[in-house]
Amino acid sequence: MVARLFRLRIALAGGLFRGSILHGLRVALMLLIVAALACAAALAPNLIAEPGSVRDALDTIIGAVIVALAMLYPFFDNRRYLVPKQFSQYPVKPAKLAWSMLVTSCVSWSFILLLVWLVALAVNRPEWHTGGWIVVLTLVLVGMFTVVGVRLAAGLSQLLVGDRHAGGLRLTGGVLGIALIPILVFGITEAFRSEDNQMLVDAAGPLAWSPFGAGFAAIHHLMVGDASAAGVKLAILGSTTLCFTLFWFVVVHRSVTRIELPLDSSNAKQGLGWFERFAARPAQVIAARQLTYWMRDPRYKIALIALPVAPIAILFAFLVAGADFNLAVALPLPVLLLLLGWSQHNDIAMDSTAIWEHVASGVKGWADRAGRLAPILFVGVPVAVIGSSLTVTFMGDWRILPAVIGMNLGVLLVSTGVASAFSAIMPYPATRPGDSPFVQPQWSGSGSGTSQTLSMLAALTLSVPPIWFAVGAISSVTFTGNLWAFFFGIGYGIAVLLAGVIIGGRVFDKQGPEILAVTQIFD
Amino acid sequence: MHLSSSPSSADTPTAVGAEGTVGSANEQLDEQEESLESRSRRTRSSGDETPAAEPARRRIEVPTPSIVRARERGRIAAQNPVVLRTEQLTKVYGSVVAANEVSLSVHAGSLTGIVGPNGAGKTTTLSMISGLLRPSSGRVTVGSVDVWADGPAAKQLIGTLPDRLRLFDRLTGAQLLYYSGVLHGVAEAEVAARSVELAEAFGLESALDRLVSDYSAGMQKKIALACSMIHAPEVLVLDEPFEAIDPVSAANVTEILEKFVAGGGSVILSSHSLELIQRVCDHVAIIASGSVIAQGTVDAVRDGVSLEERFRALVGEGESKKGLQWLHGSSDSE
Repeated sequence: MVARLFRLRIALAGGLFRGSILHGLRVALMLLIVAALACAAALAPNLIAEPGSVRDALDTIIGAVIVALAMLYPFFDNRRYLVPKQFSQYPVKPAKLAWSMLVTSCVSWSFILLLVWLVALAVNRPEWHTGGWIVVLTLVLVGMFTVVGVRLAAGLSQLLVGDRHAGGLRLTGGVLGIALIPILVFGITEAFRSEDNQMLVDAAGPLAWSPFGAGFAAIHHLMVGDASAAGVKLAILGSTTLCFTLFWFVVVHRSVTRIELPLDSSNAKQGLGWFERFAARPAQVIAARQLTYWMRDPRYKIALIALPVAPIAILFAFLVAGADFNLAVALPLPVLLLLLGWSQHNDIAMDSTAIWEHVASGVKGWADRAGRLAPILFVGVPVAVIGSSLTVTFMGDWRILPAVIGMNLGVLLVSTGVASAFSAIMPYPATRPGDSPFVQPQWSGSGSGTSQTLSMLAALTLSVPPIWFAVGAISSVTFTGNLWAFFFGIGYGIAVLLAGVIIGGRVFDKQGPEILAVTQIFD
Repeated sequence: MHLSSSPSSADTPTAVGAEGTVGSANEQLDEQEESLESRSRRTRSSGDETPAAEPARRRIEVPTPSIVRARERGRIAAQNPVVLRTEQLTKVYGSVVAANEVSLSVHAGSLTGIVGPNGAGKTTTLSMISGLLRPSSGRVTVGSVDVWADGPAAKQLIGTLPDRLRLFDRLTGAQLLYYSGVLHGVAEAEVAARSVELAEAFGLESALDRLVSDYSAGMQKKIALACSMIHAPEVLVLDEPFEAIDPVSAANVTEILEKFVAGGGSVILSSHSLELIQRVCDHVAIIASGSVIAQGTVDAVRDGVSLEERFRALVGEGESKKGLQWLHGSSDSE
C-alpha cells in the first residue's frame, strides 16, 4: 500500500506541471516564489530584531501562526487533498491506509515547502547550532506534528462536512479570513508601535504553551539552558502529535466505513453553484444569479479593475500638491467605495438579457432590487473593512478605526442604495452581456448623462452625514465619538440602502414594462 | 408522394394522410384532410378509395394525427368558458398603430393560433397579454384577473415565451429552470421534480449542465418553453414557439402542448406557418396591420378552403403585378 501510494503521490506532484510548457513554467515559478516566501518567513525575525527575547518571541509567534494556518487551510478547503474516503472501495485495512497516507505525505509540494521553511530556520539561527541533535529532533517533531495535523484537518473536514457542503465551508473560511485581517493589521501595528515590544513577548507566552508554538519555545529554553522547561514544551508537542495520530486513525476508520446519505431528490439546488448557498426565494435566487453572472461576465471584471484608478490618481495628486498626509491616505478608500456603489446605477440595463423574465414572472420589485445588491456588497464590504484597517495603519492611530470603518461602510451603503433607486428610475441602454466592455450602445433618448450626473450628486449629498461625524471623530479622538461615528455610519447607510431598495422596488413594480422597453431597445 | 416512409403506401393518398405530419404543398394537405374527414364521418365513393381492409390495418399502426385531434378539440373547446380575453386592446407608438382594438378570446382547453403577415402586431398583442408591454388602452383578463390591474396574480396564471428576447443564457439549463421556478414562487421540492420531468419531456436531460448560451437556437426555444411551464400556468402565451425547432422536436412540442390543453390548460401561440396552425390549432385569429380580421375555430375561419388560401383572400395580398421587373429575365444585360 505504501509503495502504491508513493507512486500516486509522485504522479500527483508531477501532475501539477501537466499541460502546455507555459503552464508548467508558470507553476514552477509559483513554486519558487512560495519557496522564497517560506525562506523570507524564516529570515524575517533576523532582520527585525536582534537575538534575544524579542527575537525568540517573534520566532514562536511566526512559527505558531504558520503551523496553525497550515492546518486551518485544509480544514476549510479540502478539495485538493487525498482523503481516506477515496480509498474506501479498495481492499485495504483502515489502519494500514492511515499509516500509508501519513508516511507518503512527505511526497507533496506542501511538505517540501514546509521542509524549506524549517531548514531555512535552522540555517539562519547560528545560535541554535550549539544545541546539536536535540534542535534537529525538535524541528523534525514540529514537521511531524504539522503533517499529522494537516492530514487530520483535511480528513476531519471531509468526514464532518462532506462534499455537499464543502462550498459553504469554503465560503465560511473566506469570510473568517477576511474578518481576521483587520485584527491582524491592528495587532501587528500595535506590536511594533510600543517601545520595548513587550506586547510581542506577552503574546508569545500563551502561544509557547500551545502545541503550535511549543517546539520553538522548547528550542529557546534549550538555548538558555532551561532543560526542564524545554522538556515540558517538548512533551506538549509530542503528546499532541501522538493524540493527533491516534485521532487520525479513528478518522480514517470512520471515513472508510461510513456511507453518505443518498442525495435528497427534493433538493433542487444540488450542483447549481451559487444557488446552493441561497434559499429558494426570489430575492435570494436573483442574488445567486448575479454572483454567477459576475463570475462569468468580463464586463464586471473590467469595471472592478478600472475602479481603483481614480482613487489612486487622487492620492498622488494630493501627495504631489503637498496636502496633509493623513488626509491624503484617508481619501482614496471612500472615493473608491463611492464609485463602486455608484457603478451600479444602471444595473438593470447592464444585466438586461432576460429582465423580461422578472417582469413576466411578477417578481416583487424590492426582491429584484435587493437581489442585485449581492455582488456589490460581496465585493464592497470586505474592501471597506480591509481598506479601513490599511488606512488606519497608514494614518498611524488605531483608535480611529471605528470611525473610519463607519465612514467607509456608510459611503458604500449610501452609494449602493442611491444606485439601486436610480437604476429603476432612470435606466438607459448599456453594453449587453457578451459584448465588449468598451462598446457603448447608441441611444437617441436623454438619460445616460442625466442619470449619471444625478445619481452621483445624490450619492455625494447623502454621503455627507456619515463623513461629517467620522471626520469629527478623527480630528478629536474620543472613544464615544468613534463608537458613535461607527454605529451612525452603518445605521445611516443601512437606512439609505433600504430606502433605495424600497423606492427602486416601487418604481420597478409600476414601471416594469417601460424599463423592459428601454433596456431592450437594441435587442 | 412527398413524405411517405413506406414505399407500399406511395400511391395511396389516404395512407399519406394518416401519416401526414409535415405536409408541404397546401393542396395536398387539404386533400389529406378531406380524405380523413371522409373516413371519420361520411363514406365517399371515390376511385382512389382503397379496399376497407388496408386502411384498417394502417389505422392500427399509425396514431391519430394531430390534425384530427385538433378538429375534434375545436368542436369541444368552443363550448368551454373563455379563459383569456382581450378587449379593445390597442397599442400606439407615436403615429403608428401597432395593435388596433384587438379583441380575442381563448377558450379553456383550446390551442389558439394567431397568424398574420410580418409586422401585423402579433408580438405586440402577445406581449400585452403576458404583461410585458403596456397597452395604450383596452383590457386583458385571465380568468377573472385583470393582467394590467393585478399583475402579480395574473402572472401566476400565465406562462410566457417571448420571441426575440434573450434568456439568462449565462446560466446552465438546470440553473435556468430552477431560477424560473423560484421566481414564479414554486416550492423547492416541486421545482426539483418538475425540472427533471420537463427536461425529460423536452429531451434536454443531457444538456442541463451546459450554459444556455451554448445551446442551439432550437434547444434555447425548448428550454424557454420548459421555463414557461414550470409553474403550471393556466394559459401559455407563446410567440413563435416552433421557430428554429427541428421537425422531430416540433412534433414533440406539439404533443406536450396537446397534453397541456387536454388537461384543461389553454395555449395561445403565434406562427408564420399557416400549415402548422391549421394542423395543430383548433382556433385561429388572423391579424393584419394591427386588427383582427377573422377569428373562430379553424374550420369556421378557413371556410372550406385551406387556411393559406383563406388568409391570402382576407389579407388581400395579390401577386405583385408591377415592379421588380429588373429582377426577372435578362432584358437589362442585352
